[in-house]
Amino acid sequence: MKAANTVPRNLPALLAALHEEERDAAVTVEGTPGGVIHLRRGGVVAVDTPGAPSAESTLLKSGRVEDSAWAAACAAVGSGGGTLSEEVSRRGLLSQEEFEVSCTAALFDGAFALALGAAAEWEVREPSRLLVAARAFPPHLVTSETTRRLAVVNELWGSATDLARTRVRRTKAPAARLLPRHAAVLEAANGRRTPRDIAFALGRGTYAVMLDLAHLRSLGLVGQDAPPPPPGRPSTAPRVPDARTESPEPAAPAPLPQRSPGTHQPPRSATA
Amino acid sequence: MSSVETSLGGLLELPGVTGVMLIDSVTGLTYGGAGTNAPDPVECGRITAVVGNGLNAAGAQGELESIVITGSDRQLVIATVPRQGDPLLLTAVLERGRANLALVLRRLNNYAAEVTG
Repeated sequence: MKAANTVPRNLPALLAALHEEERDAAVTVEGTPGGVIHLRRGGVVAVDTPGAPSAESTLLKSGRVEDSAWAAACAAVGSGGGTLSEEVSRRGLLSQEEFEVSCTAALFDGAFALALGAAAEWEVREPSRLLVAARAFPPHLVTSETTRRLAVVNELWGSATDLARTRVRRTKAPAARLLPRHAAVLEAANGRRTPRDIAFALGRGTYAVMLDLAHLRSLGLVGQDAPPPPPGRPSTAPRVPDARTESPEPAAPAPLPQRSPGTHQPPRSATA
Repeated sequence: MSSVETSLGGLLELPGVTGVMLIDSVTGLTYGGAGTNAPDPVECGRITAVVGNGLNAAGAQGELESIVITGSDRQLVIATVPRQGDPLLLTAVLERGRANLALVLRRLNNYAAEVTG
């Protein structure tokens, strides 16, 4: 059954249908964080979302590749043929394997971050030009890995969705000997950053940072402030409880403006 | 074809090596594999984390290079691949009677150096 004939019941069903049709497409997912799932011949090649760093972001922020060298490689690909994987390898910046590893890690991390929000609406668009992508994965593999990751974080922390919105704070417990990556996460947990913020700051994946935060919490080294309310319509409730107990009387309905046939000027009552 | 899987396939030419995988040591994500008898990548990550955290707590920070688990017929080698960013793990399943463990460890190290530049 083709996707064009039926409305998929959810995002995995849509991706499965597009995979069956071997479509090139960009699936835009609304929501928080939302994002774009890029498909080539039905396989998922990249997931762009503000909820997780891209491959480019992790490579640059971690210092693995210098900004200027990366920009030069991208410019060379843009003006000529070939792929970015070949170009960065030719320039000695990354091996093709490490480029693929970085793209794959970012793809699955993006899918995980996307799953932390409710994907209520989506739209299938024409494929966009994609530079930083390597291997394509069948959607069911991406879905199953994402499900596994959600289950792991739910088990280690309590709720992956809550953790994603939590600003994690270092406790006053003395730090034991930590691996460098754990020490970096602990240093970054300043009470103002969510796991996503820490991931962007360190050039690591959001899921990997969540796992490290769970490890640090098991050592008593980090705690959490109360998570903020879920995103949605801004609250219009008063900040301070109002002493008023009765609703105010509704204002008397004003008369609707009357049309005045024969003139282009509105009546005075409508301009007052 | 995946670049990772293509290059991993070369490791199967070593005598007694029946399966190899490249996985993420933190997330357990498999980046590629070749051959058969692949171990559970998440379990490999957990084993490495337990040993690495234990060594670190004992003061041997960053000194874990490889773990070899020996069974009656087979051996599992888990080699760490340090890099800028989260480290990778390179695993190999060996037929104990045919494989040369020292040679396999050397080739795994060479592969890791090539991949991470």
